[in-house]
Amino acid sequence: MGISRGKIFRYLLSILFVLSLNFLIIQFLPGDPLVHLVGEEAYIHLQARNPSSLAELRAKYGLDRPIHERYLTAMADILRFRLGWSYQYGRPVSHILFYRLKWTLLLLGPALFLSAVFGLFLGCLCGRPGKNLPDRFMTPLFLTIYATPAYCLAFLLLLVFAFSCDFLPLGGMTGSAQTGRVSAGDVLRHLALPLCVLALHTTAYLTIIMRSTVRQAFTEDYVITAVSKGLKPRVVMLRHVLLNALSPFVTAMAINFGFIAGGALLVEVVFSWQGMGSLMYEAVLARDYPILSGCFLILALSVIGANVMADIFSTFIDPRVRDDAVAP
Amino acid sequence: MTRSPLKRLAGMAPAGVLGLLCVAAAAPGLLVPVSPGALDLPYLAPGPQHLLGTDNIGQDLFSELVYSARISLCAAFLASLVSTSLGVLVGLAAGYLRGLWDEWLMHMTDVFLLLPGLPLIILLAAYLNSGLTGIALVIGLTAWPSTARVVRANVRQMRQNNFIRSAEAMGAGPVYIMLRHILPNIYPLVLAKGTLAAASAMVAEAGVSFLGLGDPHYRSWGAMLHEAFTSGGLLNGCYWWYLPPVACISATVLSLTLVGQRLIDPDDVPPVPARPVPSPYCSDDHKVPSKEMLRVKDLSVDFLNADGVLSRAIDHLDLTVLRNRRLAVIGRTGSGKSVLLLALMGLLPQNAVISGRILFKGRDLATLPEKAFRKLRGRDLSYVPQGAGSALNPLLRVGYQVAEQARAHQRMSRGEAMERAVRMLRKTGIPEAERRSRDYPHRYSGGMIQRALVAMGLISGAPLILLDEPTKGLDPANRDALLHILTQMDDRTLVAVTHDLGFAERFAQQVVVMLDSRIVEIAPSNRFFNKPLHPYAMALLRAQPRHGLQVLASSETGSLQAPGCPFRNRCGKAFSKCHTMPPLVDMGGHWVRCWRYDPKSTQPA
Repeated sequence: MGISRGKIFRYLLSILFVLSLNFLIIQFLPGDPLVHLVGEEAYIHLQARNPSSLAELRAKYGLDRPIHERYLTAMADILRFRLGWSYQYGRPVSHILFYRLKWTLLLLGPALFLSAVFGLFLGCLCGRPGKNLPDRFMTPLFLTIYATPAYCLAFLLLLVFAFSCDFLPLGGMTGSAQTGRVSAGDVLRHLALPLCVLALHTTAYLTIIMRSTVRQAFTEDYVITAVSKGLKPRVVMLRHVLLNALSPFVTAMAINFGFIAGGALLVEVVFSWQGMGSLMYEAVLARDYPILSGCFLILALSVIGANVMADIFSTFIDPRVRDDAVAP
Repeated sequence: MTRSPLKRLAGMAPAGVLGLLCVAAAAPGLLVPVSPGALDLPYLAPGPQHLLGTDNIGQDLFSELVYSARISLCAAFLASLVSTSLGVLVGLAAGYLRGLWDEWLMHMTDVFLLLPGLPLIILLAAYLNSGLTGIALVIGLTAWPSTARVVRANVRQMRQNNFIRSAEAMGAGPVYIMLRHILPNIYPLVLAKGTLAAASAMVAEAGVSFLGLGDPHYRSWGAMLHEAFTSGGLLNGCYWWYLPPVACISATVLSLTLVGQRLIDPDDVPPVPARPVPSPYCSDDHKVPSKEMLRVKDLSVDFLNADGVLSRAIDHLDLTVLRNRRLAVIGRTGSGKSVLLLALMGLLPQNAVISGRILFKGRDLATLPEKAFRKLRGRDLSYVPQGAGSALNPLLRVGYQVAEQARAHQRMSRGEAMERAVRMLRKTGIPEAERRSRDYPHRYSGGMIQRALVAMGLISGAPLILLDEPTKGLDPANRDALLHILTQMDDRTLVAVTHDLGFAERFAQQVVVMLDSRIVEIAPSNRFFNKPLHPYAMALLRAQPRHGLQVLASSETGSLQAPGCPFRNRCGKAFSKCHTMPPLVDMGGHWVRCWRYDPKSTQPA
């Protein structure tokens, strides 16, 4: 019962790989790892004025020790959520990350939920065999939307909505940033456009996935059996096609979670939504490396988490997975 | 079915867009009169002077757009080249070498697959501070796993093929086989995956450049968006600044995606044949005499394949099934017997074209609308599919699926239906039916699935039951048990399609032999098995174990297109007349399609 041992091994391997990759990038890519710790400006300043202090700092942070010791220290730090110090903000990276993560989840969670629901529904609608009017109109439309990156879609929606109607703001999170008071309605108003963009783009994507899953399911023998029983088309669709499409759909969603989240990051930048995406953007501009690698770490771990969740979901849906009879 | 010219034009559009882009990338000077460096007034709206207006420092945006095409395309192409080569390499090695190699390469692929692409690319691009090639390389290095997985699956499948086996037997080394035998065969797939990889690489590059991490010396479309966004193009409402790059990115990605999908799956859009036109028929045809259950008149079924060519599966078939009789249709795979059952159930796939009549309960099933047909299915005629495939829904309990059939047409509670299902399962010989009815299909053996399917076909009490290969995969004991159940039912009309002559002999009262989409013999069972008339039927019976397994010397199939008897090349008794199709000759209730029995024929029987 549950996820197979091979899968668990693979996930552990993934986590180890992500952590190691993060460490290796800091250690081996061009540039002194010390820059990562003290910040670019301070580093250049020290290098010009007082080069000997750099050696002291290096010793203080343990950069002169052998690589495996540094690796173990880094791993231990990550386990204790010590992700480094952001010189741009003057605060620990983990604090900033968790604050920003909240806002990203506020955007990403509802968008994922909405697009999963719409994607399932529209995918079933478009995937039915035979003469299919929704398919003829919606599939080309959704393919076009899918081919347009989410942040480009944001440009278009801004052009249409924000400039022509005053109600929806151009960006930001609240209208009253100065006073510091945040009202839920205000946040919702600011959330509306980025949420729409993200939900629309993801819906297009998931509908295309669901459509091909449904079309595939309709060629299965058990669907022909179901039709031969004289069941109503709705029953065939829900009980036989949709039920079987659910697990592959959720798995596909989890595998593409990184892609969807990547789209969300860029949409945040366009709307100056203060989540992880804007954080990364600001970090890129300020060359704030600890923030960047912290963001990467969080996102990579959440992709792994999404896949674990999809596997758990499969064990609920599919008795064969529960019995270890097939790999999902 | 030919496509309309408009649709054909739409089908060419993606290739057209890509062609135009390649021209723009190769020779931007051809399209643009103004060099991209020339300056004019800033923020000019589109006009005759500047087709797409100017940006904040007065550069002509149209020329910038055209010159940027080269950068965007090069980046996408390079990244796709890297990711596709890596993916093919890993996929080939994993799929061909198998074993421990496969296991670890797949572990690695899955681990890479879980890396979030964009954040990693941003991180690496920020560290490397490198130019266009660097970014393209990084994108390529993160995008290979999906190609690797598809290639591996294909290679594994291909490895089973004889030409690989024979190459191995000749002593060819693994590297040689991979390069010379496998790679050329997966080439179309590689091309398709490469095209799709270029599409996603273009999206990734645009995203990274939009964040301002692109190469400052080479501006791509993404970099144009970055400029428009950071220099106030968006806030000042200069839509001419950012809309064209958006349109270009989206058109290119769409075109690449469509071309890639076309390459993977050339006939994604199956042509839908016209629905059969209801033919007016005489009123006396309307009523099937009460002794008859089903009458098939002049039925033909064709399948329209992707090239628009029709291939015939059933050719002018006439058949009458009497009430409460058991009929066996025998013939080899591909003779059209399973298609016949599907046609009777109205379950033919989308690309089937049907003509002729199937008269059942005063209706013509060949032209019956789907909605009316649905009400007949399960209630008036039920279908027992082959058990060898996945005829049962893997996610529903077997008992539930059997009960579903009963509940589809009769008002009964869930519990009542389940009770009946359990009773039916017990009757068809499922041990511990009560408990096993709550099991999922994957816990059933092949024989048990077959019996559950029969239970499902019988439960609704339909007077006509169509069985597709009911004994396939059953051991002799199970087969006898099934035979017992089926022969007990005197109040049903059973039509079974089978390979199994032993089963047919004991099951059927009437036998129909099909060969290459036609009926060649119809006879009462005892007469047929004592003295078959058609040379093909004789050959079939001679190949039975008790007749000493005299297998047909040649298995050459007569071409359907060639006129004449399909068996004449293997017959041994064929003569000149056999080059025309013989009629069904009545030998006193025993019909045979052979010139040797034709009274007017010169050759004696």
